[in-house]
Amino acid sequence: MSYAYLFKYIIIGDTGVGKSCLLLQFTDKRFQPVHDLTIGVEFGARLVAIETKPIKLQIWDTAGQEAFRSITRSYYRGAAGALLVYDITRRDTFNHLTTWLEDARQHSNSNMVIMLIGNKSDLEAKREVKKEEGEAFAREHGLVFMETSAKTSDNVEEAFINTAKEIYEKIQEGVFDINNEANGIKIGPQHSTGNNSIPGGNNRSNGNGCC
Amino acid sequence: MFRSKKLVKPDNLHSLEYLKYIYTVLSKNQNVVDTNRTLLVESFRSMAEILIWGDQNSPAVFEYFLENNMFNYFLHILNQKCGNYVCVQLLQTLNIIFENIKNKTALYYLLSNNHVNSIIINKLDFSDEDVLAYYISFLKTLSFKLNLNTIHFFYNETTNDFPLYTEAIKFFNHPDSMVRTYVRTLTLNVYRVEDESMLRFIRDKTCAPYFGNLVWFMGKHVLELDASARAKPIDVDTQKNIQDQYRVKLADLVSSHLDDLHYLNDILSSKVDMLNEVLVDHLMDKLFVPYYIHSLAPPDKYIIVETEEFVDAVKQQPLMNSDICLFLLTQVFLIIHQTKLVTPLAKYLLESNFSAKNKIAEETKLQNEVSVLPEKENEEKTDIESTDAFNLKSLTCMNITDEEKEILLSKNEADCVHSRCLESIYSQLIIEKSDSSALFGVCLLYAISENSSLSKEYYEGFLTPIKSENSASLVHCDERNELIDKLVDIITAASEPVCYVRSVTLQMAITLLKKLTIHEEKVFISDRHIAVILNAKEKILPLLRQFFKKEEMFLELFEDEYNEMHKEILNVQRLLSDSTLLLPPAHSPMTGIPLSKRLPCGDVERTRHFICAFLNIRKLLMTFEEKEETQLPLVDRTKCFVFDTPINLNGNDLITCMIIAENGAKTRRYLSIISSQLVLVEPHSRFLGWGVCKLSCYLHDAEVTKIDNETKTLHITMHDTKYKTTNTVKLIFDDHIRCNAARQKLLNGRIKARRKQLNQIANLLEMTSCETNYAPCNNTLKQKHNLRSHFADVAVHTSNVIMPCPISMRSINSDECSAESNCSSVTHSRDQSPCLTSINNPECSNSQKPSSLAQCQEKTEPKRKGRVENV
Repeated sequence: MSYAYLFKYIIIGDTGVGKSCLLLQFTDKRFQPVHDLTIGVEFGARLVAIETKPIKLQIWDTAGQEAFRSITRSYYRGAAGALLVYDITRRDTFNHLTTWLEDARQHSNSNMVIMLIGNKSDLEAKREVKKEEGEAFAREHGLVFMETSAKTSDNVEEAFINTAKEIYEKIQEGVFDINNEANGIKIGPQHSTGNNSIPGGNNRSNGNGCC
Repeated sequence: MFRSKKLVKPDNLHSLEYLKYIYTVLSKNQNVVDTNRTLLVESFRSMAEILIWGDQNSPAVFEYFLENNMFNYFLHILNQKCGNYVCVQLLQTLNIIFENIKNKTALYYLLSNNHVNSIIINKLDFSDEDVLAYYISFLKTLSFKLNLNTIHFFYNETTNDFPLYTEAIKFFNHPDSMVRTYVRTLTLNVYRVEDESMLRFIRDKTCAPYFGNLVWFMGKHVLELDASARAKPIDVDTQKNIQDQYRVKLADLVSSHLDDLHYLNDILSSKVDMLNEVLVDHLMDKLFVPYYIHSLAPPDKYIIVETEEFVDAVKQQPLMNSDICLFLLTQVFLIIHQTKLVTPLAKYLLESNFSAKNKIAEETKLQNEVSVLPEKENEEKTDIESTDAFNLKSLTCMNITDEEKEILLSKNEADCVHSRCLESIYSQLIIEKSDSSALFGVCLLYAISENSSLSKEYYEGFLTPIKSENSASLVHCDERNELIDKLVDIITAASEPVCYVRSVTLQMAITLLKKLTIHEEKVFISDRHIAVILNAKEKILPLLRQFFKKEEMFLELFEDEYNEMHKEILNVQRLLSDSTLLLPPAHSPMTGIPLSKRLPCGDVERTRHFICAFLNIRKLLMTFEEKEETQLPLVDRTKCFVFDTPINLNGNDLITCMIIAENGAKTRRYLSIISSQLVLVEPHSRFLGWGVCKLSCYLHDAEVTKIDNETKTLHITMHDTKYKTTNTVKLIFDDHIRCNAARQKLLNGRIKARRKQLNQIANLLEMTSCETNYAPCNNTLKQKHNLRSHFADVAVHTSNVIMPCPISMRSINSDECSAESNCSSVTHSRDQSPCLTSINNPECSNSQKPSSLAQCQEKTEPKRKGRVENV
């Protein structure tokens, strides 16, 4: 399977905000979260297309890192993008964002793209955090913001792809040192072959990318 | 495929029936062929979902799964060369099952048949990064399931087999950083399980290669780091591109070295003595002693020559640049807080008998840690003990505690020769051309003294204040005094007009000096040292006085530096994670390095640099002299009126105005100037003559601007010096007269406030009054200033020109006729004599000297009147 670039992502945020659901929804849409079935997952990968270039996204789960300081550091350092997730129905998860962000900024390389995600937008009735608040927080800290629903898959695709677009732009601008693998970016094995186009990002059942 | 089509696929995915359907599919497709790959992948994928659903909702599902040994199919298919497409899904399904399963019986059953271990040892195609990523995730997931109950499923005591661990550590140095991180997580999870036989297995079978490799790679990275820091372009400031590359590489190496140290600290924190001993041995023997200690103090003859790279390393002496060596050692003491590792290292560094020429054995009470010492010492020990006994006898008559006796003994043994490492560190503290080594040397000693896991006895009386007279003369006294000498020398060097001591070095030296000399608010420092520091301060004063006279932004710079100094306490750990420190000190701001971490460039930065040095030294002296701060800050901004405070306005001028909000809404307020503050009030609801503060700001933080077309409006920009934010308010006055009056009041007030502050600074700089007369009078605008400074300058400048205006305003109000005639005559004369104005103009705009002010007054007064009249 060939790709132009590989981006490594991490998903961070309080427990129960739906990090695994987002991951599964993105890498394997066929998982339909019914019966309030929550499935934790550690890793996922998927091929998407950014400006017709095939880009592989690897999403690494950071569960269980809390006990070890060294591990937290390494996770952040090895990622090119991070989704910072909170639950719009739980204010405390929103309040903890500052701590998460500080952690991320302290440990990650300065170019890491962070996207703020207000998850569970389908539960409008239980909403505790207004969309405007999320927007304000994102503006204040220079993040891109989006409300998603891992359940209805609303905006999930966009969240991952927009982050990838931003990383891609940074590469074009020369901000990222792509030869330095420590940044969470890898050049594909056959970077030069431009013809190797993939038919969009939605054909996972076809390609051998799997979930 | 044909047969599978005959199967009826149940509609509901989350049901036992669906699992039965999958079972049939799997049993009919036991061999992977091209045609059934997709079907198999689909089956495995659904299986994960059904099983988790079953685990949470219907026990029957799992029972069916177990009864039919469906797990066998996993293995069966993996054992075929099933292709990475199927393999990846299989691993993900396994991953999901083990990650989510809550039913313990089910989990134990899944683990019990050694199936999982067979999967682990299965040789998969790890060249496919997906396969590897899913595989390593699977191993990591399993490691989170490890505890005393489950460990025997993974570790087989009889066969001495622990595939989960042994297979995982094969990837410990994989190029993919995330894979490495997962491996590290797994190892830490394993070490946490307190199963002795498993840990023994790890120690006996895997420690040597794993820890050995870990330390070897750390050593390799350290040498790389050393090489890339040394291989710097000579002119750091100009070759930006090359330099950027170096910086990126260096930053990367430093970061991964810090990662390694944190990992070591995490391993050591798991408190598994069995493993930690081996790890500490490896670290001391293969990394710290040969690379760091020997670089600081090269031994005369080499005792240990074990590995090839060591022999290589021995040839080039010293092994590493001592700057980098000190930097790396500091990191060790900052990050690692485990007695087992920190203690022997500290002993090498601080104690003379560890690296002295004549090898002498350790103190008796430390014998249990001899493992770190070269074996030779064990033999010598017997002789030494007899001398110990002899020494002890002679000491018994002295009235001191046992502990002191031992320390004293160790000191005697070394014939009062300092530790050679310490000597080397001391020699680094001398600043010649670059202050890098001094900075790292100070940081190292500071880090040692701050390390909580290191017993104080190793540096008591050396890196701590000497508390009692009695022990003072006995222990480490020379070292301590010498160190204070060195630190005071750094302070002196910082006061030289030629800058080569960065602010950060000075601050660190001061921090360490305070640690050495202040204990519970009592000061332990000799008068001689204080005198030297006083001298340093005296040396800076004339420099600052010059800047004070030359530099029109002096006040702003001074305030800014003062605020910077009090903003945050210097965090050594954060400071030392900055890899740019390893490059030679830069000059140019183009490097993006903050001023405190580089040398100043240009006069403005030099001014800042010396203000910073002055403030720091002054503060230190005040601490030593136990003086209270009375002169700083110049303005106590905490005393600014708070929102909603009632203020007595009796006797104050009030000007009515409207404050205009962003959305255009107007609110009536009264503007007044009270104790150098601009205050906007609204009338108090109950007390007559009182107002409630709605907005306040110190006059020197307020810039007043007039918009050309709007005669009744003023824009007031308020600077928050502490948080560097600005806030602009728009005020509309009833008429242009009130507007001008307000403007001049504010501008005059601002000048007065600034004068007052400048006088305060002059006092601080111990300037005589005749000197201060010349205080910032140089108004020529210098292009090099930034926008803000330029702006402030203009404000000062214009305000001076129109300063006398309030008087003229009053005269207008009282006698308009005379003003009118006066004005016309003047404008007339001005028109007729252009040469006069051309002489007047530059003087007015370029000079603030009192002598020229009179002329300005003459000129501006009629001009004002003329404008008034026109309206």
